[in-house]
Amino acid sequence: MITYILRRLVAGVGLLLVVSMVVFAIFFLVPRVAGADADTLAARYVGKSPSPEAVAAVKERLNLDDPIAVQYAEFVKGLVMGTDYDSGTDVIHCSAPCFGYSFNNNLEVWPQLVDRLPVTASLAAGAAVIWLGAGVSIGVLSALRRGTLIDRAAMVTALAGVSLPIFFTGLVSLALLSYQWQIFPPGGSYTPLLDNPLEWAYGLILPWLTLAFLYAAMYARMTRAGMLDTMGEDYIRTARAKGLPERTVVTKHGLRAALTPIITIFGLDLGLMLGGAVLTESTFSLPGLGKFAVDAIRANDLPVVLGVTMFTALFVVVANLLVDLLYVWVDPRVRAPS
Amino acid sequence: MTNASPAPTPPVTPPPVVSVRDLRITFPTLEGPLTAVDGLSFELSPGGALGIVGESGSGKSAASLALMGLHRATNATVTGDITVAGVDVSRADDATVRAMRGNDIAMVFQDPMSALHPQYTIGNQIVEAYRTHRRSASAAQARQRAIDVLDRVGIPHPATRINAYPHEFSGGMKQRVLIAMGLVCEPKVLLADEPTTALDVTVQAQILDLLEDLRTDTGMALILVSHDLGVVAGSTEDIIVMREGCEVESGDVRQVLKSPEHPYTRDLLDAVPRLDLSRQERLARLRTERSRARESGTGSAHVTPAPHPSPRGPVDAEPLVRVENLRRRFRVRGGLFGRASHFYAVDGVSLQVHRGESLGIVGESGSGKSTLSRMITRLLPPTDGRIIFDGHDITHSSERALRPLRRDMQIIFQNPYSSLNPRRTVGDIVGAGLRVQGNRDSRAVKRQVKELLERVGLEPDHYDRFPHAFSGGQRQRIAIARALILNPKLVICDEPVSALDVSTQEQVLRLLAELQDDLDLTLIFVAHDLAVVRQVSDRVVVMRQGRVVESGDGDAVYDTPEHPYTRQLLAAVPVLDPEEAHERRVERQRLREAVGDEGVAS
Repeated sequence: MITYILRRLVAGVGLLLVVSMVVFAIFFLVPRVAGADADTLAARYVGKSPSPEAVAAVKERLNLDDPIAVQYAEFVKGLVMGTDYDSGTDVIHCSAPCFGYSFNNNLEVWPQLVDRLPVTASLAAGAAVIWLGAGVSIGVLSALRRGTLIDRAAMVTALAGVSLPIFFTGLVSLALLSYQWQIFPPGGSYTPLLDNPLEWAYGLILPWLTLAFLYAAMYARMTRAGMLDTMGEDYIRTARAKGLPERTVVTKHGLRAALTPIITIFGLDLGLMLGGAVLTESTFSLPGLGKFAVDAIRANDLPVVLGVTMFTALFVVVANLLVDLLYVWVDPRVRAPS
Repeated sequence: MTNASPAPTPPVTPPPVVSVRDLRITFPTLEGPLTAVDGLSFELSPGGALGIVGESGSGKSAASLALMGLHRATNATVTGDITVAGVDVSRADDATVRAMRGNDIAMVFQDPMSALHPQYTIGNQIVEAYRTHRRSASAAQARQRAIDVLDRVGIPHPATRINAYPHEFSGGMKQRVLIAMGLVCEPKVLLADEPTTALDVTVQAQILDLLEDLRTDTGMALILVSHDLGVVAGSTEDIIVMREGCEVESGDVRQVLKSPEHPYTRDLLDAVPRLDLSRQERLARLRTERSRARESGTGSAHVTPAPHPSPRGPVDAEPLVRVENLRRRFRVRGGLFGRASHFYAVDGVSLQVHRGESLGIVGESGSGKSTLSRMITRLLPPTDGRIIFDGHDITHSSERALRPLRRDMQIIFQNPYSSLNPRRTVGDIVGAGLRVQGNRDSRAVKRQVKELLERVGLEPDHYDRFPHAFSGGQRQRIAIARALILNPKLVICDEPVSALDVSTQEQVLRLLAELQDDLDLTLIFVAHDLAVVRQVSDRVVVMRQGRVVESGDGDAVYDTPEHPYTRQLLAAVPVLDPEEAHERRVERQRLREAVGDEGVAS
């Protein structure tokens, strides 16, 4: 089993390396291949309507005239041990882990990412608890009451949840619940958890529900399908033939097996969301990573976009790794025979 | 049939432990209610052994599920009286029935691969069964009890193996675990529904021997449900033969098998593959029957040329297939940086197949017989050795070079449920070979396919139907037609009948024999069942752990087997005579000790 874990870890590190290459290629290699020269490329890192001097400085700082391999090496070096952006006249230091430097507002990207992470993490974690709980229990209920009114109502609601976009459900709920009836606070109200946990939860409850509605709907449908399959398995019949109470049959034998694939998807969803729940954060004006990225795109602040992309990729890879490790516990069959 | 056995009965007849009266089970279907069991009645005395025999669809499994009360909360309608160990299963409340399940009557299911939960250790699953009914037992007591029953059913090192997961056991061992799970609460009745159908013949014999042992030791009653009369014959006292939900015959097993009254029982008896019938006798019998059928103008023999006389042509000609010292290595993943070990699934096999001959390859699962047949058709590249097919050395031929030869080698696969594409019509499936080989005349293709469908015992207008409309046996006929459409020189049948009922099996084997006779096919017939292989093979090769342990003329291998492993395989074939079954059980015990542990540990 230790072999398996080590293998996964090695694979995870390898995957991170590949991801960094792909992200780097998207930002620096693809534009070159498409015909952009060093100057046009540099212009994209300076913000809107840059002065020629600023462009030249950035070109120098990012070493855009060097071969692509050298640039990538600098990039990785920055991630691991920090780097200096030298324009020939002055030097900007970016300490490790260097996720880039925004020449727009003269700030390192990493500290900004770290600042915004708690917001996104709060949003993701709270929503995840709700959608996992609601989605799985509705899915199980639907599967066990297959074909009844409950099942149909749940599945129609789930269909709505999957098909309605967040900026619709979010805006409608904001309009009704917070502006019209004033049950929940308006958008943009975020209190850090450590300052006041109650305020924190109260401020986030509407974004949580909106985000969870979408995911709960998907998870309910997946759980339902999984449970329907599992409850038809021979080992469920074996469990019943042992004389187990139906509750044990459903939870211990049925749900355990049905949840296995859901854990995989859950890990990936969570990882992806930590990179920024773009729509939800924008709709509710939450200062998280997603909104950070959107604002950066609007301001043409490419270093920030690059930073957020890397950060998201990092989370997905780590989440993937965690899922693989969790699998050892969930499904004994993956424990490689030694 | 309470006390039909001739043994002297005690003065006071004990009340039956299972009693079923006028059981009727219907399932709603789109075409209206389907009656799966129609008025079944029987009784089983404590410690008795009852066999229920019938083909798939005869209602035997529906009836056994009803005994466990497992139709509750499904849409099946169950009427009639069922009493198991004093519990009125049809009327008692759910809690009472649950308390009965596993405690008074335990069930062993057909497919041990899927009947255990893959995510829990076997110990967890057995302990769970025990503690459900023995609330006061501590975890340690329950665990000890689980170790005891695992030991009882012959799991080696039960105290450590109790922590293993189902996938760490072979099929036969899993079935033992399931039996252990059934035994853990010392039930009064053990209900085994096709407990050996998914298993090799040798493992089947071990499991049946175990069930017999347990019954004598613990005094529990046994209900053995099977499609195979041979399985039931040696292990039960009474027997019920079912067909389409109804009982057609019942009584003492010796009586029923010796002088069956109902023609259906006779058909079932005839279908059991017999070891003692040589290939020549069988061929002769087949030919007489066919010529008789032709004279009377019935039967499927309308395209038949006159059967040419056996024996087959001289064997000195260049063989169609020559395999020399063939080996296939597989990598077993090992440590962190690929300290992988290797094992040889096929380890130095040499054989020849002559034109017009049929070669049987016999062995248990894991003996390498399927790997071998895949290499002969180059579906799998060999590691070492040579394969010569029809004068071409194809050992390392490229796929492009193989393509023209592919039409001459066809395979019929084991599972007709998964080997036919469910989204294509029978005509598409069978005709595909012609089309792939470049025949563009769709009318001619259609005509040829229809002729062949008729030849394999189907209707020409099955052309436009989809596979799901056919039974297992019919599907295997489709698969046979698919293989034969290109007039191949070689047909490899990889366990073609092991997924089928005994009666269907017999029909498919008969068809293969007829086709071989008429079309002068060269066959390689791969199977784990020696009796099945004997019916269709001129020569037999016995494989074990990747090597050939014995080979020779079919009759010689069967009549004077040399290798103890061959003898063990022979002794495992179920027989119809209960007395003989008992003798064979003793013989098996002896052989198992002679061959060593590998045989038992499978």
